[in-house]
Formats: sequence, structure tokens, C-alpha cells
Amino acid sequence: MDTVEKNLLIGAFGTGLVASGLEGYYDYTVASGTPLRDQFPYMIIHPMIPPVGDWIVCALLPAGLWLMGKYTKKASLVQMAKGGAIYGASELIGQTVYRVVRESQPAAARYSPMARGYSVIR
Amino acid sequence: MNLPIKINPVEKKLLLGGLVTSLAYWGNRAMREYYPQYPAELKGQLEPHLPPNGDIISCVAPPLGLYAVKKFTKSEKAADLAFGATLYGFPQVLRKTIATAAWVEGEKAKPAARIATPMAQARYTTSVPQTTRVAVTPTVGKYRLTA
Repeated sequence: MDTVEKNLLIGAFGTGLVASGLEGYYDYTVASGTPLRDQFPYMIIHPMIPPVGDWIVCALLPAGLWLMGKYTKKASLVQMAKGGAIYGASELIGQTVYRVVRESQPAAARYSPMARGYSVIR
Repeated sequence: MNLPIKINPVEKKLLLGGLVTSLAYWGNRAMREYYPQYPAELKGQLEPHLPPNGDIISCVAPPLGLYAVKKFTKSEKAADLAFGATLYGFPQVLRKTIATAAWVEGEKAKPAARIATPMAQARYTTSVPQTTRVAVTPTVGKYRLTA
């Protein structure tokens, strides 16, 4: 594995870790009976698009890293930003498709009780 | 098409690989929730702190499949797609594992609901009611208690 691939992986895992911290904390609060619903960054603009937190982590975080890399002229930071952007863009697009499908279905059509927590904020 | 950010062909393939895994993951989620014949084995979990088996498979299978294609065909395109799939699939498994573990720990931290204890029930003892005589003086059309 070369340096570019390593940096891409670090960026993708870094973005994934920040996202998991956000999601994990929300899920913990919901499961322990004190949900953070409608609080920053767990608000939702529209049920068909991901919550604000996902936009911050999956779009703003890689963008900030990319700008920082460009400003400091560090190629490694730019590569990490690209890794994060690949994870983030895939997550936002996939989740948007899922949410559009979900919102187009009647609530009674849902079978699984496992849809819970952060990924079902609406 | 002119994009504001330059994306070279390799990065396009990486993004495409990530999208393939993402659509596999979220497609699996939608199937689990809305398809009644979704297999129970994929709904199950190996361990309560791990995400459902279907989620893990949908994140890990695309990169592994694409790496297998690369092995057989020696294609650079498949290699890039496989690496792009890895960039989404493995961080997503990590994310869902942390979220599931947080959910389980949150349920443990939830205060227990109040239930009636044996002590509370013991405050009320059963006893045989004493029969008492009550003299009733009949009046016209009515009874009147005198005791």
C-alpha cells in the first residue's frame, strides 16, 4: 500500500470515526431514555435528506481539511480530505436514496423493529 | 461536464466504488425494513454489540468481490473500484458497530421501571371478615339501619 492509499484510508476512517461518535452518542441517549431530538446537530431539515450532523461530518469536515491542506500546501492533508470526501459523499448519497424510499412508503409497511436511533431521525 | 473541483479518472473510480458499497448498504437497510421475506439470518446479530449480519455483509462483500475480480482479471479499474469500496465499507462497519454498542450500553444505563415490591404488597394483609349482626327494622317500603 503506497502513501496516497494510506492517506485516503486515514481520511475515510477519520471521517467515519467522527460520524460514529456523533451517531453513537445520539443512540446512547435514545436508548438510555434521554433523547437529544431536535438539538444541534441532530436536527433534520427535511425527512428526505440526512440530518445536519451528517452534512457537517461528511461534507464540511473533508472540505475544511481540503482547504487546510491547500492553504498549508500539505499534499497528505489534501489526500486525507479526498478519502473523507469519498466516504462522506457515498454516505450522503446512499442515505438520501434510502430516506426517499422510506418516505415514499406508508409507515405500516415497515417490518423491522431494528430501525432505530440516529439513522431513523425524521 | 465541467466540475468546479477537478477529479481525476482514478478518483472517479474510487468514488464509484464507494457509491456501490453505499447503495448496497442502504439498499439492504431498505429491504430489511420493507421486505417481509427478508432472511432472518441477515437480521440476526452474532453478538448484541455488533450490527445485524446483513449490514456487515453489505459493507464487506462489495470490496471483497471487487478484489476477487481484480485478482482474476488483473484489471486496474477493478482495483480502483475495490479500493473505493473499501474506503466506504470498512469505516461504515466501524461506525455501525460503535453505534450499536452505544445503543446496548444506553439500554443498560436506562433506569429500571418502578415495580411493585413484595414489601409494598405485605402492607395489606388478608383477614377473615368478622360477621356482625345488624338489626334491621322494616319500615314501609324501606329498610333502616339501626346498628
